[in-house]
Amino acid sequence: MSSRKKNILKVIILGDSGVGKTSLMHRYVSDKFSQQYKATIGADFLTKEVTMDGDKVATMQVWDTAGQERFQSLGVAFYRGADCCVLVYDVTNAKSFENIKSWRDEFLVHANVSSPDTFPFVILGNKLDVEESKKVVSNRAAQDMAKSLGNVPLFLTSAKGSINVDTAFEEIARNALQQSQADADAFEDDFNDAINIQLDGEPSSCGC
Amino acid sequence: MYTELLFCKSKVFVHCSSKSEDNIPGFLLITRDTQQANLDATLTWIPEKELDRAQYDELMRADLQGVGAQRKIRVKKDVVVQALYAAWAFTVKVSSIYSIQFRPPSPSGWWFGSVAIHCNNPSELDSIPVLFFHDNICPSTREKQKNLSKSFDPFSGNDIYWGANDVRDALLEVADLKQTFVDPSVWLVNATLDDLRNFSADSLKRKSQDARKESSAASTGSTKFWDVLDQAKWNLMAKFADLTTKSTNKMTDMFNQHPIVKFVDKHNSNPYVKQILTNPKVQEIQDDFDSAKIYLAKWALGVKEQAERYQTANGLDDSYRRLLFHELGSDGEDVQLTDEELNIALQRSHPLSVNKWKTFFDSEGRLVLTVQEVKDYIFHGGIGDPSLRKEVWLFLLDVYPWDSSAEDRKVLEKTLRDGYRANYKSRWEYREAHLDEDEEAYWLDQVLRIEKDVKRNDRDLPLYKHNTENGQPPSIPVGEDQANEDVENDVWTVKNPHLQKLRSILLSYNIYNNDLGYVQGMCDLLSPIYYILEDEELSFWAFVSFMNRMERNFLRDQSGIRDQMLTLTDLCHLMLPKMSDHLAKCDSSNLFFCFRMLIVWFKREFEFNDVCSIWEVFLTDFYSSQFQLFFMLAVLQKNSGPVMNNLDQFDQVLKFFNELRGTMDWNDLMIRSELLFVKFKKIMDILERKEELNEYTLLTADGNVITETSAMAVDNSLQAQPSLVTANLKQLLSKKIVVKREPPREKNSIR
Repeated sequence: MSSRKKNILKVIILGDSGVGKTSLMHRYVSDKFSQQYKATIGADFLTKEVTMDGDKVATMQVWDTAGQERFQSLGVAFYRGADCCVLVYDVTNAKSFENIKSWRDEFLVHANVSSPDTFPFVILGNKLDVEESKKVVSNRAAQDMAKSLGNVPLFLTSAKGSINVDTAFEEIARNALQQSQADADAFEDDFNDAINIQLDGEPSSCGC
Repeated sequence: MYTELLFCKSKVFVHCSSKSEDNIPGFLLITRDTQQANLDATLTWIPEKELDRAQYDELMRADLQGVGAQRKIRVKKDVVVQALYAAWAFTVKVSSIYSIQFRPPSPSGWWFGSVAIHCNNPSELDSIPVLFFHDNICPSTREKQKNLSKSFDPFSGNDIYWGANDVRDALLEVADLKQTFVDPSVWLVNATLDDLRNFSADSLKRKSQDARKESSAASTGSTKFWDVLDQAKWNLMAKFADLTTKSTNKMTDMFNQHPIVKFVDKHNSNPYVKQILTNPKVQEIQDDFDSAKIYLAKWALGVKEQAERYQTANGLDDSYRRLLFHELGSDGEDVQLTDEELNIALQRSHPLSVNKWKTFFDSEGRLVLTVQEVKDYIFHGGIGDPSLRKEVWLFLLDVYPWDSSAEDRKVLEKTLRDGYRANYKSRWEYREAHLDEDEEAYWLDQVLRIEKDVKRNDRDLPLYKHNTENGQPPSIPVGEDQANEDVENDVWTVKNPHLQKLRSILLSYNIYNNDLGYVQGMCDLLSPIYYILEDEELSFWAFVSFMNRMERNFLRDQSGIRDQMLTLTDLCHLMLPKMSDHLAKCDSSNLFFCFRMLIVWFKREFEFNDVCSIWEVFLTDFYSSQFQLFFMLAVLQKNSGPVMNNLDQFDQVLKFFNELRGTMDWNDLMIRSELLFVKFKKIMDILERKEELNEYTLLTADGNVITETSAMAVDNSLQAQPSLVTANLKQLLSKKIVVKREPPREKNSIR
């Protein structure tokens, strides 16, 4: 296993087209926002160094994907080895909210994660900056949904207004880190697995 | 009967002998019958003495006042017809002229400037005398000279004005003239692409200029003389090489009789003889002998080959050429690219101009070339003039049939416009809610998807940038609040008229192709088409035709795009085996990283104008209807070094190729694509022949017809060595577009 694979936390962003996946990624990684993002075709990722709990350094790889459903079958390749999945809806678009669950199911079917029940998801309700009258998804409904999916953390964000994005991604990073450690533990005897992730300063076996 | 006079020059002489009393003054005219195409314009020389007083006066007036495309004069057709019967006179269609040599007058007045016309048809050769321009007695030329000398700028660097400049300018109005690099005095008229390749490569122009500089140094006795001479000789000969191969032996014999030819022939290798030829006095004698052109042509026998060799050896950018040959030239075994193949791919320097394009059509607007010839131009040079794109793309995108006349196209255009509005646009403009709830939801969802992508389509381009009713920047600077509202996430309405039209076309296409539905990327495909045509109805039909071949990229089950990625895998395996192995090690053999490039034909990887240039090459189907895969292969080939040396993970490879966006040189890649295709075809030929050979030996090994069991055995032995020639690869040799349709949409399948 190559050494560069260590320290990488892989995060996948999913959601309907136009909910702001690309914008969220750019806001988080480079603190930029543009009106001129085009519909994402294929997949791309950006990386960002993150420090957690004061001393743990890791590289977060944020994967941005196309929102159109029919492209997902080809995207399976990059689901593999994910440590956290971010589900995004648009607070002005009810349909995108209703689809959150199917995005989660879709991910679980294709990503082949070791324990689907504990795999971390985070839900983001984006476009919080839009005026109240245009919002159609209530906070209440969102909280209910998050709860029903297994107490998934929920954040209301605005990539454009830079609201809550960093907070949300800190939570995402924490979840991803936990997941990668759990995976590392589960596979500590099985070195063949590609998602055996270790952190700097940690012994190669977890020592327990 | 009248004809339009497009140009007239007086005091153009034919010198019948070396005695000045034998010189015949006349008029040089360019005429064209009304309603006829440029191709039918005629060049006529008629002696003054054939004209009656009225005609003479009329033409003198026309000469002095100047006529042209803007200022046409109608004259009796008799003027032109007379030329058919008068001695020395000639009339020739501009389209049948091969080249024209403009030999300027001597600055010191030693000789007159002259024009030698060479025709495509050898039988016309001897009927056209060299024309001498007696500028000193030509009123229009004198008038112009006077005006020019008033504003004389010694540093302008322009050529000295003389009478034939006007002829050249006038011809440029009706034909495509290209100066040759071998001899700047020679201009090709409506040259074929092959001649352009041989005679006017831009990269060579520079070199020959350098050589000319040296050549003037040489006449003062420089030691480089011989080298330069070699080139000079070639210069003289090459331009007539093509002509000579067409000329008859009789003609050659005739001019062999000339004393100068005899003399020069005898002392062919003597440098002094050649120097003598550049002496003005000698030149004058040559000119007198009316057919200097063929005297020179004499030398050119068999020189075409030499010309090509020269071009190969010296002409093109050597280092780039060597690099390409090194990288792509050979597979280390049987396959090797020839010089000619390299040359053709390398010379992408003759973009299609408006003038050139006009010469492709007759007076009825029908193509006079084969479609493949036209496509050769587009494939190898693209469309030079953006305004020409609109017309050419309508052909390339099959809106207009290649064999249609102008009238056909007019009728067709009307039918298409009406059809679009009546059968497609009106069906959603005036629609009522669907009775079936699911269908209604489906439609509303489609509208939403289309709008979402239209709003974020190429907003950096001026046409689509401003969301105002006229598409212009808002006249009153908008305040912060208003600006915000304007670009508010999903809730703003499309006001820009061009974005609205994109939306209309995509909605109409949704009606047209009800099974496919809107898929992301389709707006990317429409955007350049609309940008170029700027016409809603025609863009719709162009898009329909484009989608006919692109639909397979968007199928619900992704089978069409997957097919292409599998073909590409085979292609990469065959053509770039090392790269192919390496990608497999990187867990990237599915070539997922090519997805974006393939699905929208590199639209996201290049600047908008480059995208148009790339697409028009693909659209020709010149070599293969799937040339995009060779372009993709060129991207892989070009980057194989860094990928193999540095990358070993799936995500690294994806990132690497994603980040090529905006950094690639499409021209270089197109040259590589062509070379890769040519090489691919050779390899396929060899492999197929080998396989045929194998089958043959198997069949005759024991002299019997193979039984079913032995056929099985054969099968097994072949399995051990899987064939490289897959069906996918074979299909790449086809120019027929691959069409794959979405099967009928199931109820409530919205995806």
